[in-house]
Amino acid sequence: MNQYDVIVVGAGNAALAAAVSAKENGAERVVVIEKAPREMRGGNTHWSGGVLRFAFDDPREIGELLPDVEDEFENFYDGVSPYSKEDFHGDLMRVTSGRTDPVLSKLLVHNSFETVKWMKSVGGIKMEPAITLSAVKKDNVMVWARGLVVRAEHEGVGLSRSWFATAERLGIEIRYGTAATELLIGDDGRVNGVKVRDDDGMSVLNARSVVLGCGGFEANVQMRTQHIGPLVGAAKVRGTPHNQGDGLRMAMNVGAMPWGQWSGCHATPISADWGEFAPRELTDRSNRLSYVYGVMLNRKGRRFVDEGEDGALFTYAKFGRAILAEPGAKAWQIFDSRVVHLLEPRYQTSKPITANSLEELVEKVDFDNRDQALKTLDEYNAHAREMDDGFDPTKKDGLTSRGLAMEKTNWALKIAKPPFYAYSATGGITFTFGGLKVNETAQVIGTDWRPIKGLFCCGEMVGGLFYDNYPAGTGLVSGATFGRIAGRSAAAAN
Amino acid sequence: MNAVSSSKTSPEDVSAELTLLQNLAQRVHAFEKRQLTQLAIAQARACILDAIGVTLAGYPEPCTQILLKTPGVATALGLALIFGSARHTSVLDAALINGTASHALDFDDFSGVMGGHHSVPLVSTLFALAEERGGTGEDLIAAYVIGVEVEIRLARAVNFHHYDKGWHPTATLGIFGTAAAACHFMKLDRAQTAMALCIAASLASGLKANFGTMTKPLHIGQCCRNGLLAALLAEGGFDAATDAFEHQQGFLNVFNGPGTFDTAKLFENWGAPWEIEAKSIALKQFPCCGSTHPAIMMALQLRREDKVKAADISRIEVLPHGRRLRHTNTPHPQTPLDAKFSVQYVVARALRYGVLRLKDFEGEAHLDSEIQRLLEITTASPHPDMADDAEDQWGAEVIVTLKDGTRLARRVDNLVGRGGDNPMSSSEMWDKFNDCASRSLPREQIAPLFERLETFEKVTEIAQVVRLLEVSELHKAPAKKVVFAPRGAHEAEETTWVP
Repeated sequence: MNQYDVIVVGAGNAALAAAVSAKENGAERVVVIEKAPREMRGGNTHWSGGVLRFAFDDPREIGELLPDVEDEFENFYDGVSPYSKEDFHGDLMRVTSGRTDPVLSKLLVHNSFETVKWMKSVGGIKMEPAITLSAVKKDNVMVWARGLVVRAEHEGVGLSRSWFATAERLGIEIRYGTAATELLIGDDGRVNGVKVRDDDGMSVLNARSVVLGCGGFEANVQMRTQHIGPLVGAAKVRGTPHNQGDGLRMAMNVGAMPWGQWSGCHATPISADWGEFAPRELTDRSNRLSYVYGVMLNRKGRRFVDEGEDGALFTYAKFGRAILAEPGAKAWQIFDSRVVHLLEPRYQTSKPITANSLEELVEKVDFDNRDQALKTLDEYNAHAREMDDGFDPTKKDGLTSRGLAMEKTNWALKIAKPPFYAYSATGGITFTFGGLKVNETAQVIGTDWRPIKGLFCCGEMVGGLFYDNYPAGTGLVSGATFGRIAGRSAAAAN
Repeated sequence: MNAVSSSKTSPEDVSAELTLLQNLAQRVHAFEKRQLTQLAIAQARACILDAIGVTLAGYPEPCTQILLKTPGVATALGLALIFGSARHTSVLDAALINGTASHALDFDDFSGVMGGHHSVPLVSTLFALAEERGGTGEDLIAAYVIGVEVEIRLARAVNFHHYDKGWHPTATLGIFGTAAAACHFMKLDRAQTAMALCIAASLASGLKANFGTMTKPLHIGQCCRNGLLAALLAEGGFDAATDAFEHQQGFLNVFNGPGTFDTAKLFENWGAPWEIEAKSIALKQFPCCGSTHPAIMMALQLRREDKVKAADISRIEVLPHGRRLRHTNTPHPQTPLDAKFSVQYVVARALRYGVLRLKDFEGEAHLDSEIQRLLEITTASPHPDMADDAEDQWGAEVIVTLKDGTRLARRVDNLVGRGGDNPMSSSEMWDKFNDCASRSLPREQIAPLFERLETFEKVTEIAQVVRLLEVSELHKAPAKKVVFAPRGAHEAEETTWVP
């Protein structure tokens, strides 16, 4: 009963794409090994925004994914600009400083639209326009961001749910609460099974091929500290607590080659209201990125960055790390009632500390030095500007403070109108960039530069795509693209 | 209480010395989480999830909103959330408001044995308590299961005389379930639990004369609040007559009347199985009169299995059991309320759109031109083969004639809600929940909430889940029509959204 055609380790978007693809391509007995129990299933996918970045030449082609979109939005297609393969690849190159793997990145870009169509047709993933997060309001009309038009209906939760429903419908066995602990390799050099641990103890599952799709090491404090450094070692985890680098270690134990930026990860300022792991029901809504409209104070009551240096998109990564370097790895973001409506909707997941005066606010917040905090706010207000001076939240408004030791160079509006709000912030890690070397069939390559027979990988475990940063919406499409390829290759290897 | 003797003595041994409510309280107190079967957990989970959904749907309803605006209501300070809002208040007021909202649309689950709705007396009360006192999903499920047990056991003893006489069992029997569940959740001792039930006997109320009005859901709000009040009073040392149930001037003789009840049924085969495990526990899938549901199901089957397209239909014959048709025979509904009681309308909608949503019974949805066309070719009459006095009274047949002359039919002999051998699937549950929750919650909170409730027995802190029922007022953006920029008018920039 423990003999399968394909074993898939992990149960997020990439892993379930691999399982569905393996089944679609002729593997009969496919099993998904999910370490998490049923109520925590689905890996980081559950926590994701569900956004899908893909290349298309004619906006009307998107109609296949969003059949009823014109009923809802009249001039929908007029608003969307084409996003060519060159555009997509250019964006990947730009944000990774030209270091993205040339072969894998092209594979991703060229397959991206086909992958998303497959997610819908075979994967049963419902999709919707990504309007609330991708469209930006300008001159009273909405402008679509480049390449980000579609998301899974109900975001990562919906995406995960749909994948599980499809896997179950196709007769793919899903074993919850089952952790793969070791890859088994035969004398012929072929990976032929996994050792697993579940409530009943240890057992062995055999198969002709194994697909690893069980994520990076973002939830593993030892690996974070070792590979990324002590600052990110102290970060809170935004997603699943189960991505502990198990798959990476198991694969390297049978000779797989590490690849990509092992010192790199996606990390951002998030709420400090929770423990080491953000609660599952808050999904991706842990981010605290609207600091541009206020000030950030550390526990000593001092500012430590120019909050308005640039739009949050360009500062979040370094500010996330900056907060981690402050005492207690914690900061407070302070806003007044004139800007509180500008905060990202994700701020709803915290209850701010509120007060009718700055004195009262400072009393309520756990600053180590309250006098300094009040002094900092008073100093800031003495040099900050008025609404009428040209405050404009829709662009870099150039409204800079005048005369502070560390100026706030945009959106430097006084924090003047009660009530006042304080939101906690710390640094949170989303996922890691370090992975394994794979070839174009998603087969894992060994440190001897030979492919390892019977071993494939996908998702966060694919090394070499992302360095320093990644374009939003690429992670899921990469996951599904390499998952689909890995499943097909694994089925063919039988 | 005497812990030593209670562990050695089974409830049956001492029952002779106890009053009925003391005996019941002893069983409530003795119930433990480890007695929950997998089936009981699964049923409870589905019912609780459904109850949360219909409560969110009921929040904007006038009965809930008028109650909320009434001076002195929900002004007390407390930790309990009014679902779908940012407002917190005392557990008593939260139970009153959420309880009323939960029954506002009459869209909640029901028990044929009870002749009423078993979940709404319990869920609002238990969530409010859990927010204030803390608790796990499993704690709440255990309290819920024993609450259902009490409600339906009492119903077995007093129905259907109780129901036919004019009492509203959801409230008049539900209140004992509310009190029992609250006592169990608060871990009150046997004597306190008995007192709570005896106090509840004097607080029971609800008249069927007020069915069809805002006062019907108010019965449930009152039941939730008063059952909880009884438990809180008992916790504080309040007293009542221990024989308040069987006393000559007690509940049985006053509400029912001598000779109209059978107390032996209260404890017969206790826990074997639990009432929540019964096949007669059912969910309501569609937001319209339950008597139309068998016909809707048949119409949906025709659409799904025979790929019937509305445009191809030349005639629709709806043949429900006669007792189901009498109050749903509305060939041309003029108001949203008419539409809820029009078997013709709902069958036409099911055939044309494949779904029935709350919005189909709002505004002018019933005037939809395509539905109007279908209504012109629809007839309804009592099914000739389904006798009025037959055992099965919830059958229906739908016959569709296509323009090419093909006749397609579907028939079901008895379909009372969705449960037993025909439970709602996970995706059907989601469709209903999403429809309901959308009336009160921001879209991004709905799927994570559903996902948590789907594994509710594993929830370690209920207050965490309740956060997803809260709607922040701080960030509420006014809804505006979206207008897109024409292509080329603006350079498409990189998103400012950070994953």
